[in-house]
Amino acid sequence: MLETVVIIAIVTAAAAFAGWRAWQTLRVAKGAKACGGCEKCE
Amino acid sequence: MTDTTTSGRHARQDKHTVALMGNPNTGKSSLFSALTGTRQKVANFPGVTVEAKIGTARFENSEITVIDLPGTYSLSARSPDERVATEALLGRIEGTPKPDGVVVVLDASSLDRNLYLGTQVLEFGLPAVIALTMMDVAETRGITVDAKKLSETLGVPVVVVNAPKGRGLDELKATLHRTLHHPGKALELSYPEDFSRGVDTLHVNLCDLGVELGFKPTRPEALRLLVDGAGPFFEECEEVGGEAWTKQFFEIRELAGAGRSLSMVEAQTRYGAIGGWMRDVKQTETREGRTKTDVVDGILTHKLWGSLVFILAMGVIFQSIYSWSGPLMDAIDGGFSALGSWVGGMLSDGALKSLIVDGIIPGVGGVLIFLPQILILFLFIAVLEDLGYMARAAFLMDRLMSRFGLNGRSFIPMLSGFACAVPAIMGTRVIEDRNTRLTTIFLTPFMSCSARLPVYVLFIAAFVPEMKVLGFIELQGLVLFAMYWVGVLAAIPTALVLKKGILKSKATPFLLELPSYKAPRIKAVGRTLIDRGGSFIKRAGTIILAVSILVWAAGYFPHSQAVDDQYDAEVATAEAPYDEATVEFDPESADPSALLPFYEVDSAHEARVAAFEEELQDEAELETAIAESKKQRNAEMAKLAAESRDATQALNDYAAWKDLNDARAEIENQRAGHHLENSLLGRAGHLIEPAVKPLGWDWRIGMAAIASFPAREVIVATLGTIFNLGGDQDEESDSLREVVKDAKRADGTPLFTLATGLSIMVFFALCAQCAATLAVMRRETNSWKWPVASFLYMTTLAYLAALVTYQVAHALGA
Amino acid sequence: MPSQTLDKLPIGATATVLDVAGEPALQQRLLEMGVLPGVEIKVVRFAPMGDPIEVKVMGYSLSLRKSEAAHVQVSA
Repeated sequence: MLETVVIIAIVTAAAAFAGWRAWQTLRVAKGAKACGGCEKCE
Repeated sequence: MTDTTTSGRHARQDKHTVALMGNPNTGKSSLFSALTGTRQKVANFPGVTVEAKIGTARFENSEITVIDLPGTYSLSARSPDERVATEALLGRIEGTPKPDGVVVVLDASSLDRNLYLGTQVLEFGLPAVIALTMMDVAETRGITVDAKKLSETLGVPVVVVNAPKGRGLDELKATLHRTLHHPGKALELSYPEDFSRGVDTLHVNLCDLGVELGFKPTRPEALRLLVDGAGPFFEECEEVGGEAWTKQFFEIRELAGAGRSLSMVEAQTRYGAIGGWMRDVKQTETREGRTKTDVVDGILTHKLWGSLVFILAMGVIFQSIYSWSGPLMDAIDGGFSALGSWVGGMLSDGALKSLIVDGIIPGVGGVLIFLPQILILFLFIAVLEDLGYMARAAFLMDRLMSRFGLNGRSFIPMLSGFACAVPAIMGTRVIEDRNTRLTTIFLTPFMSCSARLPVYVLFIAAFVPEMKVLGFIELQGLVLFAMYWVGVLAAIPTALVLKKGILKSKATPFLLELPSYKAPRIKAVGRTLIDRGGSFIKRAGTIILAVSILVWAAGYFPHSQAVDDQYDAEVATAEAPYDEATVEFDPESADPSALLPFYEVDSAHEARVAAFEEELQDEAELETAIAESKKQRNAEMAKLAAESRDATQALNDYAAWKDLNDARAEIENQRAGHHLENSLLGRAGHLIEPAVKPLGWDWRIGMAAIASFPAREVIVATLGTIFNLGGDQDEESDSLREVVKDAKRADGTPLFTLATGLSIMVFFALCAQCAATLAVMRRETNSWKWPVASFLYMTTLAYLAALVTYQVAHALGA
Repeated sequence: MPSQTLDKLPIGATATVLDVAGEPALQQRLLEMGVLPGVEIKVVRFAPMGDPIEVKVMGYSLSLRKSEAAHVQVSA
């Protein structure tokens, strides 16, 4: 029983971490513009 | 408390930001490191491929944030990458602090050219200090620079520094501190009247546009825009000002040039002024004979010797990446195996044990095993870069690379791609032209990286016969060599299509400075290694760990109890005919058993066989040796058995135990296979089977290929797991090779044939199964467009090539 | 003054730059790197495949392609 809980916790954590990383990279990608980052683009 | 006692006068802390600007190869980076020590981070500018480092220097009570801007020869900006320096200098980049002052780094040994950028920066009028580097190099060339006169002429404080030796750093900081509080004024050059008037007119015009631009353009910016007549700032103004503005702009330009090219006016004004200053500041004593750099270059860029040294250097890099890393990789591999069995021994069977032993340890370990290769590659790159050889390699290779629309500068990253595409793609930063850089980034993953090697080794060993071609060339080696060419051959037409089509760029200038050779700085090289190694380990510990866990979970769940019960029953049936001593015998257990001596004799025999297989290449010789060892074992066992009646019984029990053990292993394999087929991975595998069938694959190979998305080499471990062997099969272990040979399809025909093997190898040579490469592509291009395009293109190409390979090979009867 | 282009100079030859032409980006880069009228330039060597070439200008070594050097007029 304890083992099941531990496994579920680990797998969920891994999925959450992978998802968070993917989301983070996507967010940066979206904010990036090709103009050199002046205020006008923001 | 401490603050008030040590320095009562400065009640509050001073905080400043300065930008570090200068030409490439001026010792700017070492100055930055010397000023900031370990307190630095990389600043990424959105939308561009260049980066800057930000660090903190301390002086007495004040804190100076130092921004190390990319080295450049001029502020002229025809691309966003080139515009960054100006934007950063004016503090217009979000997330990067606005500089209160600037340190202009000038190389005393080529002061004239260095001052070109210098005058551009000083015109901005920010409080400035000049850091004069390479005085020793200048001296050996007979050049004496009078720092005091230079300071008087320019009206800017000049400090002589030697960062590697730590000289002049405190003075630089003190001068900087003083200058920030009492700034001087902007440098003014005397341009021709028409030109100056043009700049003023444009400046007024830009100020009118200022509201829509969102910032107030400065006069030096107006000058830049006037001369460049193109680039991101021009496009921005064009967009805001519309056609009317563009028309006006070109009228102003026309008048300002008065019939001459504006670049020419600017260059002649700057270099004219510099030439005038130099008469007072610089003394050149013509030295007889050639400099050390000239002598070394006489060999390294010589028509014949240069090419030979180059080929030799590349050979050494390749060889050492493979050979030096061998023992280290074995050690890491051994360490992880030991860790696996140690942890395995501590835990009882179950999901948790499987997660750690089959998922995490082989997953993370399988990636960390490449750490030595990464470090060795970066060691060479860092040393060659510091030495100044990289520019020579580009010089040597430019002709060849330009045939494929590339550039001499593309060569080094592509070469590094044979070790690993990740650092290679990061290495493309040396390429100035954006389109050439993107082409190089796109092509780099086609170079057969070290992660493909395990795949090649496994399938070549299993299916390519050990024989010689033409009497002396190993066929296996030849096939391996051919696999490396598959990628290169695919890259060539891709390069041509890219450069002629979407990434077409006007023939970009190759103009490249060949800097003088310098001794590699051990500290800087060491730092690079620690940085790269550290980030690699961090990745293995974070995202790769997470992916390993998820792949394991997909292959493990749902783990049905009914299946376990079924196989438990089979084990019980298998054990039923044997007596207790046989069933319970465990060589690892501390309980003394009569069977143990026999086990030891047998193990010794197996160890001998393993050693022979490692050493002996000749099949016949190997067979004789094994037969010899078998005879010895049988004799030893017979001797032990002859000692007593009990011993004879024990020998029989031992033989029975071996049979039982094999039977139990077989059942366990079937159990694992059954669970796998039932798992999410297995079910998905059956779904995708129709897609991979034309390649000669079954669902297991297809799933292994898909599961290897995080990293290509994962397929070796995944195949091992899939073929009921547990996930710990190494590509060089005989058993996986044997199992691959013996694996059957559902209809009983062999799963792997030469055709299937070739099809898998070709697929892996061309596919984009490497999350790290795609991620670094995204980071370096700042867009998902490139990794997505790369993945789709490479996967399609890999699929089609594997399809053709299999169908042709199959038709030929392979 | 008689003139020729930089790419035609033999190894070891020294000449004075007379004019720098070419497409705007190339012309600007050449000028910025110190290849401008009145400057002395020396051909040091050719790369093994004959291109690019290495020249000494303003006391440093610069490599450029022959096609680029063809835009630089030098004294004969």
